[in-house]
Amino acid sequence: MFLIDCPYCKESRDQNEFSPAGEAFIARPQNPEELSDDEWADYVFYRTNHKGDHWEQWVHTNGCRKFFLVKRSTISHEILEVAAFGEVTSENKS
Amino acid sequence: MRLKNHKSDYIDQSEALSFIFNNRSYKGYKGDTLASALIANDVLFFARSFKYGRKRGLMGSGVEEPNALVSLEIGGRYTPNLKATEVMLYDGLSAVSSSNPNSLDFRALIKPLHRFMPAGFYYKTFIKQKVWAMVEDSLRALSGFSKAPTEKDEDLYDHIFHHAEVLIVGGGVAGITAALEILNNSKTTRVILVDERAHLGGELFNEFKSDDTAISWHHDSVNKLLEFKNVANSRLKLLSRSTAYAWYDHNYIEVLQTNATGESMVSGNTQVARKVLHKIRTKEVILATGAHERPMLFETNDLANIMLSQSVRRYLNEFGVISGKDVILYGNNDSIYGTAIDIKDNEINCKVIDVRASGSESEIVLKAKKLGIEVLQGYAVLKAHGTNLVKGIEISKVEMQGKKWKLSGSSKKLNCDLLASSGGFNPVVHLDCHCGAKTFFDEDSQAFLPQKERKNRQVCGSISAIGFWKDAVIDAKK
Amino acid sequence: MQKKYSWYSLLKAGLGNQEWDQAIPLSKPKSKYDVIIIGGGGHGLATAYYLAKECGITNVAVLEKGYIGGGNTGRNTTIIRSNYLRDEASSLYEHSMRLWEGLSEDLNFNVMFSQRGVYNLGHTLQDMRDIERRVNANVLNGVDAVVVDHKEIKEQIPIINTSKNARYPIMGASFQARAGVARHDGVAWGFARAASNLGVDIIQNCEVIDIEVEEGRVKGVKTTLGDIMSDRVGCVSAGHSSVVAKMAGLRLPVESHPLQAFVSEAMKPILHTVVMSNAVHGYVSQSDKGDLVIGAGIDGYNSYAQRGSAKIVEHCAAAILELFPIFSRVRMNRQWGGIVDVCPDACPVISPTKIEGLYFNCGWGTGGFKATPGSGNVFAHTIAQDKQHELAVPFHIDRFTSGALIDEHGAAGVAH
Ligand SMILES: Cc1cc2nc3c(=O)[nH]c(=O)nc-3n(C[C@H](O)[C@H](O)[C@H](O)COP(=O)(O)OP(=O)(O)OC[C@H]3O[C@@H](n4cnc5c(N)ncnc54)[C@H](O)[C@@H]3O)c2cc1C
Ligand SMILES: [Zn+2]
Repeated sequence: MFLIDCPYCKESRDQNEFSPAGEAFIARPQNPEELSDDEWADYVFYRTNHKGDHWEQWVHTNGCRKFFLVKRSTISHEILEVAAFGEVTSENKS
Repeated sequence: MRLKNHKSDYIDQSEALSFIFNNRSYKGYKGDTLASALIANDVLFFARSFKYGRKRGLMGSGVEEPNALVSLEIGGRYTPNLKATEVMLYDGLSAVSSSNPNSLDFRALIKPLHRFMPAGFYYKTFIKQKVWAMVEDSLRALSGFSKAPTEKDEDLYDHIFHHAEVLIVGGGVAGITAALEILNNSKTTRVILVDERAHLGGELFNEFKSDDTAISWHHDSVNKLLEFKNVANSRLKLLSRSTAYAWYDHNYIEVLQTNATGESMVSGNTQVARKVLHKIRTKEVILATGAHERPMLFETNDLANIMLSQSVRRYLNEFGVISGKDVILYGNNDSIYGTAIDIKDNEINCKVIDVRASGSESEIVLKAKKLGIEVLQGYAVLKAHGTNLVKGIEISKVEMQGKKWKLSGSSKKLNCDLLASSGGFNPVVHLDCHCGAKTFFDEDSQAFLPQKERKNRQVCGSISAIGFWKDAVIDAKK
Repeated sequence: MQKKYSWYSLLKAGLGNQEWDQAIPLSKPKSKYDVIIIGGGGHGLATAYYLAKECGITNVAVLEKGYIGGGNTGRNTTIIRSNYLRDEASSLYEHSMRLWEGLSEDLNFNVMFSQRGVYNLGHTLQDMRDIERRVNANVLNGVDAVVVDHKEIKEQIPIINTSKNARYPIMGASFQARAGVARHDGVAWGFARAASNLGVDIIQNCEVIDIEVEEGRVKGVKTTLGDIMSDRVGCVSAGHSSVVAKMAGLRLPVESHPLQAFVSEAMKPILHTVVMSNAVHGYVSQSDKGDLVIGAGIDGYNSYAQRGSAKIVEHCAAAILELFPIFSRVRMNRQWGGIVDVCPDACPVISPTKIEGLYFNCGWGTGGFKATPGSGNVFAHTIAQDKQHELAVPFHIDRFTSGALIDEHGAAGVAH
């Protein structure tokens, strides 16, 4: 049962208040018309599913209801970093 | 039997309670567990074994008990598979063995066929699907312990959230010391101390008989804890009869507390919860969960009245009961001498068999000898005799040659009606492993110990193989 | 030494020296095999068995990083059924069901397959419509299935709460009589023993740490016990599929989630069948030993930690008590988690990959135990012929590109 720091509420709250919302930094295609079927498949269905430190999205469902970013180990479940959208991007992420 | 002239702070001899076990009525006292009350009434068989239906007696005195499974009450309060060692006695209690040791059991008849029932018997047999489909239900009927409940639960349950800086699991010497240390050294830290038993103190009660400083230490420490507890906005929560059973991520721990009136609410107020689930989030966890004794191994060591040494000692000191008159202590460490001295003190016959050869005896061994307890050193028990109850043992001199034990000389027989053994101690590391921690094998203590370093977790006391209580105090102060 | 299991060998061993052949010899890896299977779960072991038995390829190694059956195979609630909605899925699961029906005899090992029937409960009108539809589809596909109403459920399972006042009243169920449960470890051991009798090497404590690929062809694997060559590698590593795929530079349409289960202390028989409910989310059966075996749902986050959240377990226990109020005072004995590999359409991938000689069998998610023999069987043929087994064709990984998904979220809705 995680204890998650919501970057908006600035409070540590129980996992019960949050919902996981999938892998982070999956960019929406800029030019959808130009995408091949393989690229579409990769965008919609394929996932990194990383074992180790993993960037993902959570939403503070029973709180501020905002989405944010969490870097968490999928081995130990330790949360290493939380960030609001924009604070961390696929370019500058650790 | 119950010892006359025995004084224990935890048995209230002024209040007799009646109860029923396997359809016979008995009397016990407030403070007894079902197990101790039955020992007092000379009941020695509690259940039957799973496969051959062998009669089983008690082995332990608490959560470690493997044999004495009973079911409690009937109807909407029927509860299957409780350990007689964990059920606190209340007036009107009614229990039956999960498998009745007093009735006929045909499973005993198949024992002579054991040659034909090797390990993995069912993998090797009924291999045709049709045949398996035919026999499976009859085999199912043989297995299982207590009957399942048939009615809706009548009682209430509750849950409570807690937030604390420190959770201490285990209220023995180490846990108490750790709690006091933290409360004394900080003005803000909130502490929760949980323990499975009804009273704080853990195994320390066993020292009371022989060590007055243990009594005064216990008295003082518990009083100091109560001082911290009995103030407004107390920083200390004490949860007794409470088992920490699950440790989830980010130090979220679940603790289940049983109502003070016991497992069943028969004599209690029905508007009170039978069990309370405490949901605890804490910054630090201190594990002071102690250790469980392990038995010595020998042939037919499953007869009734072959028990763990510390358990015999606990029954004696805490409840004033013992299940034999002619006791043999057997083990590979000094703890058996403590039990022997306490038994001797109650004017009950006892002998010690120590597998370790003589030479370099510790103080307690010398003390036992001085009290006139017969001590056989360098002997091992090969076998226990008796049909259902232990009647005697066969022993032989042994020597360590290289890394192997070798028998030397011929074996001889000794009579006894209770055999208590200690093969060392297994630290209670289970909780630590729930969240991914590993154990390691420690050669010195010959036991698996909790991983040394772990974030936001400390261990103290006999969970890290510290035997003597004063050392546990020192350890916990760190 | 007795090798074959039979009453005769039992008698002979009993009268003799009571010695038995080691059931599964422990092997050290050779430097080269015709086929390497990564993952010693039920699916991997079954693949090796059918490769040896039906495809004539016996120079096979199963590489397992821990002990065989220590993954989801040893952690699941063993529900076996074939009443899936879509033609593709129901054919595959029914193929598996037929194999289950002769499996103990085939393996010469009693895997305790027990056809005690499975009820999938419906609690709303919509549930019941879905159930009707699925049962009709099953019947058209030759899969045994019936719709039962709440009265019949109560007759069959007197201890279930069919009160109209329940928060989620039971309206009816689909029932598959041939469905049931099996002994999970026994399945792993039975396949391992039978495979090794045919010459397959079962190698434990051997983790694959890299896959060697040269010019688009697989060459072999690097393991914690050294390098092993093979030009055909089948990956059957369930929760770790994405990790193994990454070794070959591939990505998969799979995410790993924790899935939890727990069992009670053993009691005398009280529940003779299997009951599952999507709506309250829980499933329960009673094992031959007497414990209630209860399964929960997945956690929504990705994890490789084989443990999940308390709230999932609490929710599941509440669901079971909703169905069976009499279990309230039964004490739970053990609880654990597995890592399940979930595909977006709740159906597996049984497929070749872009890399020649590298095959994947994964994405079984919360419900692959029931498919163990069928999955191994079609995957063995797929590897042996380098061409998908007919039943595996719809499960090609390319369906995520073509869009030909096989949506089984309905029938697989509850984790099982
Ligand atoms: C709690 C729970 C309940 C379930 N209930 C049901 C149910 O009721 N019915 C049902 O049909 N299904 C159920 N399932 C799903 C089912 O257990 C799985 O789908 C099935 O067992 C998968 O089998 P497998 O052999 O593919 O996987 P596993 O048994 O997990 O085997 C994969 C093996 O690969 C090994 N491995 C991974 N990486 C490597 C590497 N790099 N090198 C070497 N070895 C590696 C792992 O150690 C593991 O042993 C349940 C699952 C869980 C967790
Ligand atoms: Zn918030």
